[in-house]
Amino acid sequence: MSTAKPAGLSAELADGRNAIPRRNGELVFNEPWEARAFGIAVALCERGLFAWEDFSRRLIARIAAWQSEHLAAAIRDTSDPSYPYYALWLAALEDVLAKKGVLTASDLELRLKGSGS
Amino acid sequence: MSGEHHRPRRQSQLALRVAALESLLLEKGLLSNDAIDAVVRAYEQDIGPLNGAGVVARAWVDPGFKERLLRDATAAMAELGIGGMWGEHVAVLENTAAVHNVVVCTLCSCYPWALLGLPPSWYKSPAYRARMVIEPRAVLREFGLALGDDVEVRVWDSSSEVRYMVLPERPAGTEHLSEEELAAVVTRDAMVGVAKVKAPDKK
Repeated sequence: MSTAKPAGLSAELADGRNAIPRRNGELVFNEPWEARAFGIAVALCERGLFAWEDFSRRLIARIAAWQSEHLAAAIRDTSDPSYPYYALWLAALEDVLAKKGVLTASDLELRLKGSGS
Repeated sequence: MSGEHHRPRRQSQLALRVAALESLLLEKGLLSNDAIDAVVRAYEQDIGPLNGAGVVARAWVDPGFKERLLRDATAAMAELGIGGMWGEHVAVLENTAAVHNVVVCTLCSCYPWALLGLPPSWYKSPAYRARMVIEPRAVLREFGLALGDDVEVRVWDSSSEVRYMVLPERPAGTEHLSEEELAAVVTRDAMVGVAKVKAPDKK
């Protein structure tokens, strides 16, 4: 981030008004991968692969674990740009897929190695 | 912060991870690219606060609809063609001169997608989620909303079982507006409960 932003919730509000215009509301994803992670979870749930509660419970657990590590900082910093919401979302998605026996962590690691990065 | 320095690398690792996950799911035939594209497009472009604004405007002009909306929001939304699986488990709370409702999800980010689209980043932030419950009046003041001591503030915690939306007060001076014009003045923030709806400036 190159531009300095005033801290606080109201500053975020102002950002919302200046965001790239959308037909219905504001820009909801900061990075393309966030949109993919979101779309995969929703599409799989709509296909009935898991109930939303199954995912939601794991997202809550991932968020709680992150916060217990970062709580002191998070409480003080009202804008908290470092809060990795969609990274936690992705972790919760991996959790629920592992639980449902769809994909294991090692499947994913293997694919990542194979992708040659 | 040192974390900021590593941000681009972290972002590209996450992007690779999502791409790997996606390719595995595609190979297994569990998903298609089109299905993911459709979801993303819908939430980036089509599903958003306009749905909620339409519901609010209808409730303002039609007392029968308002009564049904407050009793069973999912059924009332269906009357306007809003719903599907993400319109379930929605409840609507009415703001009045005496009671101000405001919504938070303390544990994650539960939000009435069908009515408001995806939540803004501040709604998901640890600060909003923690502080709205503890000191709602102070947080509302930061949003520019100062409430009198005579107004009761009720904070509602959304979950995957119940996702709340606020029915804001209809502002004075809007008696002459049509339903469509009313919908245009309703804001997302008013439907979360962190703002009031303002009457449009007179031309």
